[in-house]
Amino acid sequence: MKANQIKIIEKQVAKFRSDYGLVSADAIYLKSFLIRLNVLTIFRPLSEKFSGMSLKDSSSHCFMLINSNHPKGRQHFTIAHELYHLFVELNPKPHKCITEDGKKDQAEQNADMFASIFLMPEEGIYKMLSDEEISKHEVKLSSIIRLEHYFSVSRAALLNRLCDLSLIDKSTKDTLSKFYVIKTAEEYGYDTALYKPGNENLCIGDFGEKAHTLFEMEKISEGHYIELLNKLSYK
Amino acid sequence: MNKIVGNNLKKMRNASSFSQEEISSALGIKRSAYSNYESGDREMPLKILEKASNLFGCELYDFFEEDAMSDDVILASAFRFDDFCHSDLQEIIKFQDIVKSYIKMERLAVTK
Repeated sequence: MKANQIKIIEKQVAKFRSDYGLVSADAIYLKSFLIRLNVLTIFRPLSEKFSGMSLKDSSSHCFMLINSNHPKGRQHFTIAHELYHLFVELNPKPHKCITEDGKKDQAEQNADMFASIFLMPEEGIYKMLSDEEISKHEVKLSSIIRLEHYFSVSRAALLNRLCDLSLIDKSTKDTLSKFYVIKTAEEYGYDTALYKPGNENLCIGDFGEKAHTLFEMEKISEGHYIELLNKLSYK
Repeated sequence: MNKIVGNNLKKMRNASSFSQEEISSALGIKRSAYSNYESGDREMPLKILEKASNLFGCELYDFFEEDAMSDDVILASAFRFDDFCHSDLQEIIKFQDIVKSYIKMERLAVTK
């Protein structure tokens, strides 16, 4: 991606964070943030190649479907990617992620870069590294694991970000990518839930609340209310 | 009427960026049969049309309107690396059903 395009996305991230009062260096707890943005988000087991999708209607109601079979760190990246389509992209159009020639189109590349910068802000990364690591461009494995837990991202996403920031070089990234992620995290005493699937059937949003309110207002019957709740439970 | 339904199917399929193969797989019919419905050569059975409305996130009556384009769901951004498999399409149908129900609840909340 061209440097000026990255600068534009950095500006978009800064504005997005500022609009929602998020400190520029802080990690984001996405589940709370989705509630705040009022994005109805459903987590369901999907095939490996399908990470998720988002929808927006003419009244700006936003919806997301996220693959709960993916490791949680990867799910977070998908959520941030979809936030770009829903809240940042101008005139979003329905599209496939990959063009006929197998390459990601520009909107998808932008969404990936947005997700990376949004989830792992440069300032936040620098704050958590030692001066020696920054000056020598050599980030220790212990710092990498600490960073991925702080930002709740996958190892792959973090290594890409560190490489983009020239904090590690390509060969170091390739070497670190070969380490078995869960094993290294266990060796440093970290919880491994971040690297595993999760959130199956979780629903974030006010779907149930809306159904309950309509029932209380006697605008829908009890049967209809239960039917609506059952849509979420996938019984 | 078959032509109107066919045109709307095509418009909504393109807007959702699904292929004919993906749609026919989700609807449980052969691609050639779907192609006939989309071209207006044959009438799509109501049951299948209902399933299609869930997949596209539109109302059944949208298919019968001459200038229909579901303006409820205007953006579909699929984050994916390859074509959908059949189970993904079934999940998308369930997801669209939740989206439709949510939008209906929003409307109902403001009606007197």
